[in-house]
Amino acid sequence: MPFEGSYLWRLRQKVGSQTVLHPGAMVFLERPDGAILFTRRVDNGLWCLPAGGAEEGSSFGDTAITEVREETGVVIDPADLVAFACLSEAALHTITYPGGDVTHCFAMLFLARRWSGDPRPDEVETSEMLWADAGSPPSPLEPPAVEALRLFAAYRDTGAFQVS
Amino acid sequence: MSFEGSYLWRLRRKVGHDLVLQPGAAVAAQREDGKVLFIRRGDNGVWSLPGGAAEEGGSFARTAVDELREETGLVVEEADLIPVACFSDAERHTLHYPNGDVAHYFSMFFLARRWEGEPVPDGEESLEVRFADPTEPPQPFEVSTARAVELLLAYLRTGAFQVA
Repeated sequence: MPFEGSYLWRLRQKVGSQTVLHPGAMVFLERPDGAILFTRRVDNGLWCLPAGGAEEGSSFGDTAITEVREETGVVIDPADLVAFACLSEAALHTITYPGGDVTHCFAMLFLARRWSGDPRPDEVETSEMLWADAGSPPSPLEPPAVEALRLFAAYRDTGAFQVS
Repeated sequence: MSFEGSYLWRLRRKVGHDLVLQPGAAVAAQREDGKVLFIRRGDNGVWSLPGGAAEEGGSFARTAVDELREETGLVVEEADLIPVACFSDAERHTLHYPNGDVAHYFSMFFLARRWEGEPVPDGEESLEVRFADPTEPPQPFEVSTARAVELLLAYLRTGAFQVA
């Protein structure tokens, strides 16, 4: 959903710009040839992966599915989400927004290899998207995306859930 | 840390009893005989696994380490935390506190098999501590504890990270 009206927006009306600890999810869509879908944010022009904050009544998995649908138009079945890492270290996943709001994200990272629909930018949160190998991402990348790619590489090497 | 002075306590001063989406962590400390450490909570008197809400500057893993130490005295290294599950579905992981506060937890759930120290309750957050077979938690226990135990047993049976 757009920021206005979201859980975090309503919280911001009461707490202002102070640091908020917010759960969320990030999704790696992987094609059969191994390419990953990167999206470019409208607000800061940086490349990242589909991601966003949780809403009331949701879960990490619901958040992943909702954000991917909103930002790219594709639909993922919950059974096709594989959790491969969490990304929550304050130094690596605290975002200061242009208006001054500070959000420390506690995210679950998911991999999806099946979905329905063809991805296209929503022109609201996402201006552009491209498929690229995880080892040669577009730049400039958002800092949390850099860490997410490191976790993804470690997961692909080991098959083990990564903790950050 | 005790509730007073915590991130969530400071947030509560601005949002009152409203539903808050809160990152957190829980830990199952498992002995070699398979028994898992449960605590009887100070706030509602029922049994649960050690765990709690994240703090500013922390992470999922730091929250697990801190809560285990505060509630049981056991000291675990972050490197010894084994990721078992994420646990965030609204129906099972929304807690209603005696004072009227409502919090929906988006947690990472870890297993620990190595630690230092002997478990002792702190008398405030935890009133009793007890090792018990995870299939038979001490009574009465919270709905969220029953779900956490299901996730732990599924992980122990399959070795696969669980998503909830």
